[in-house]
Amino acid sequence: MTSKSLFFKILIEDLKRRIWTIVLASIVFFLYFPILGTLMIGNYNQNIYDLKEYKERLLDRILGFMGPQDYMVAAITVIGAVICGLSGFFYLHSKKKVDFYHSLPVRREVLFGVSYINGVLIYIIPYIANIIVYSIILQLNGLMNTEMFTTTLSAIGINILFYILIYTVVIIAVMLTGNFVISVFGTGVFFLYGPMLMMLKEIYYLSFFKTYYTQVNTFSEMFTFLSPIGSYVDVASRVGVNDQGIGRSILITILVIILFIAFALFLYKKRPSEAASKAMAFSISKPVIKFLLVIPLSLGGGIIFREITDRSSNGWFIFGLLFALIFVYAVIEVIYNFDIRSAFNHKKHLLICGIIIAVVACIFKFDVFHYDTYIPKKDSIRSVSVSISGLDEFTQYHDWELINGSYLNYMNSQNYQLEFMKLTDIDAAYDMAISGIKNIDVTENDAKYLYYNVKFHLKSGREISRSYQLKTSESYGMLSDIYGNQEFKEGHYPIYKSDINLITEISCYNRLQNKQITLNQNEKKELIDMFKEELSKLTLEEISNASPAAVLSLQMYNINENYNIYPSFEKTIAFLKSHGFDAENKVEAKNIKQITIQNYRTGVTKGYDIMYKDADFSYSQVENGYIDSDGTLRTVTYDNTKDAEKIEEIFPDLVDNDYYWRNQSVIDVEDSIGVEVVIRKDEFGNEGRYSYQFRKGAIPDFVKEAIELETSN
Amino acid sequence: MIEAVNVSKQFDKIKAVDQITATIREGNVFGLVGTNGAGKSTFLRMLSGILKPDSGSIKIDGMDVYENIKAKELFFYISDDQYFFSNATPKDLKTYYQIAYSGFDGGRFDNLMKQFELDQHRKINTFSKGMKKQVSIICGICANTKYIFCDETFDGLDPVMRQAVKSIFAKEITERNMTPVIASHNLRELEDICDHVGLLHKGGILFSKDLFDMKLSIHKVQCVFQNEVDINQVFENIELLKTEKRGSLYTITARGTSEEITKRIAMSNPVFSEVLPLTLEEIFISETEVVGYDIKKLIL
Repeated sequence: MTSKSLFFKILIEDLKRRIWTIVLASIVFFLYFPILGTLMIGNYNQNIYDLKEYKERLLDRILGFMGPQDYMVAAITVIGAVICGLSGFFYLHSKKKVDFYHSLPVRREVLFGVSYINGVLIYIIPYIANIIVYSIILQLNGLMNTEMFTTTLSAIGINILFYILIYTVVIIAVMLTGNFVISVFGTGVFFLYGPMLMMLKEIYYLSFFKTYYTQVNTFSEMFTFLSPIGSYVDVASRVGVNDQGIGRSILITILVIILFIAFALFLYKKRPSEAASKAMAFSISKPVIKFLLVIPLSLGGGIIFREITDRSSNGWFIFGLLFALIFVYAVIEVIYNFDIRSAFNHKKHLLICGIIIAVVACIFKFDVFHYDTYIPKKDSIRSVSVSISGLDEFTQYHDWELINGSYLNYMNSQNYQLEFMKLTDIDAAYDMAISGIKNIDVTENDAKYLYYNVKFHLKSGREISRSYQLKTSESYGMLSDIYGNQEFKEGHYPIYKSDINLITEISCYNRLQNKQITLNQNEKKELIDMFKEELSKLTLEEISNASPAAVLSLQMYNINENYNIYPSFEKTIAFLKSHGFDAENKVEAKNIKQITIQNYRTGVTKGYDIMYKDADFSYSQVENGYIDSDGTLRTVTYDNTKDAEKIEEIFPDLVDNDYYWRNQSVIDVEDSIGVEVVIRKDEFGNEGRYSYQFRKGAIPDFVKEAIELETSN
Repeated sequence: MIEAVNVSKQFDKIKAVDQITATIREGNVFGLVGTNGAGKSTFLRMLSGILKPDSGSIKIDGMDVYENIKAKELFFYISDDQYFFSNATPKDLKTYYQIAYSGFDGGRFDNLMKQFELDQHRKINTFSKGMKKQVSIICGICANTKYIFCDETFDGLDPVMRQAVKSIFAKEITERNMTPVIASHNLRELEDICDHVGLLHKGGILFSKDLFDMKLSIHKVQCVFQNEVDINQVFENIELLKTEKRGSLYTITARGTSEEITKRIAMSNPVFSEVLPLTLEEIFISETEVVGYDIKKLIL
């Protein structure tokens, strides 16, 4: 018999033994695609009063259903890979079965190949068969089109690719172990080990290093790190949405699969038959796996105990480390030997683990490598990026590629600024970093702090990111210098990089008006260039002290870029006026109907007394000053009809609350005083009710008196 | 020919097989005896290429057996707890073995199944333990391999079936020079079928001898002499393995041919003498006592 025909005959025989998995896969895919999919179409048919819209909506839904982002199919894929991986090679855990298969005159490569290929076919055949059936149903309902076809093909490709990856990982777990439960455990470890390590690293850095910069997308990065499921979700979510780098990811996945298959086959050939029913198949892997599990899990135990105690107690940290070390070590040894008396076998290993854990814990606890105080030498820095919290946090950020002709990829502001800002004049940013380092351990309860992230782009290509805090009173000068740097603005405001062709709509608004402006391409360019020119001249002082006249809003597909138009932006204001938006028509005292001022401190001070006496008042009610019905919160209201002069005196010192929150690092306000302003918007009686704040030290005396500010302070 | 040279196998800290050297000639029935845990199954699993010896070598017809398909094509292994596919029928098994063993005789399989009154279409998991053994043996016979390795195969067969299987084995040995290697803890089971026996104990081999030679070279004699005699003088130049005296009746186990022993006794004019045949069990007891083992503790 030729080896080829032997292979196919054994393949078919093996398939006969695995009928249950074929039936299971067929039922699941049948219920999901033809049945659930047809139900979806059925629902569509019942709602035909607006056929076109419903058809579009249904097509969108079915596209999602058939596409790579359908997480139900992803879940089926993962579960299927685990079931097929475990069931296909489960015989390796049985001495009886191993004796049978390994005594046959059949090469191990053939036995491996047969089980492996069948495990893949069990998924692929029912999946594709049911997709075909459903595609026919779609075609019959007039819902099949080119986009549907290509989306389905890409989903099939991605799902099969990651099925094979996950399936191979499960097989490696089975190869390394000799017992079903341990194989399942091993599979879990393979799925979660990478994310667990990343999470541990993140928690340690956050807990011990005061200057650690946490990236906002850390969670997704954590999840995808060395995890087949994480990579699956990551790649599947990017297909057709953000194709950048997708080909590379797929290529890497294919290479990893090839390597994993080769490794699984190697393990299969080397696996001793006597490994059946033992915990671990290879003696050599036992200490390696033990160390790889004990060390991070013990470190995890230590940090959990440290974090759940009130003051991040060192005692609890040490206890947690020791407890987790002993517990995890004992559990692993017991599993290895299936004998509780073996809990502390190989005491040398326990000792080595203990030493490694102690060293790692000390590195973090005592910042042995000076993580917090490290700053690269000036001459090694190519450029610096600085991201400031509470400075003009208004606009949305995105990268530049238009996806599917209708979608821009949203970016977090910090990520954008740190990635795209390149300050070559690094002195001010460097000084700010040094000041941040000097103030690592300085925290004053009543002081206001500026929070900022600095990223050093070194000439070597390395990038170093740190987070610092500094009292706003000390940081203002440096911040003003940085803000004056054109490179800072180009990295801080996306308008400098935005493509005017992406702008789909331009509008302007303030508290009194909102207008969409229609411009041709040349006018758009003129406006944007003009705005950029004036934005480049904007100073930190103006942001701190002025109130913007209006907001320029640029709609770019799904992204909204919003920019304040300051009174100094004369050219922009004039241009907008010539196109129907008068930015000079802004809120003034004459537009104000009423101003209500509340002194929260009186509410808090007196509220505590009430709270202690009457349990019906909660702490939050007191803190939020909601006790004014009782007369304890000092409130004063000025009405335009009788207090016009007072309103005129008050209003210039008020800051719009929205503007304040977006610029709180550079604006100082009386935060215990709440101001509500009722604005008359037009002659038709439309009103708006808005929150404002008093600038620091700008409360008129008559207001202080009315709200008992002096006494409450 | 199967040659095992200094084969050892250890499971964790337990030495299952320790430095075993044995030769199994073609056409012989090799019996591997020993108590539970003596290493019989481990040795057979190594012969079958399932386990890789830690040291030493096992060659079948000059070929290393481990991971060698050519060598594996020469034998069929029946374990003490043979695996059958779940829900499989003997017919399914036949199909599978026909793929794995190119010489598998499907017609013979059908005939033997009928002969043993086993239903080919019935699920094997509904068979009794003995019936499953019969199916395994039939598969082994029909695989038409040169060697067949049986681990405690006769255990669980009723006496009639045992004889039936033995006769089939005998026929195969005669017709196509099949060489069975049979491991068992029961000496009586092997007595009438084995040509050569290896005794394993605690992983090591106590001895490996031809059964016919053993039977010819060791005898039990009962005799009564007219006068008091020096028994060592009577049996001068003959090795006495065991001597017992009850009254004037001597019971002696001696190594030597029947003629030599009879001649020596006759020279002392005995009142009565008789050379008795030894059972395999008695031969083993005598032989193992010689090498210092109390065999009664080792085997049935």
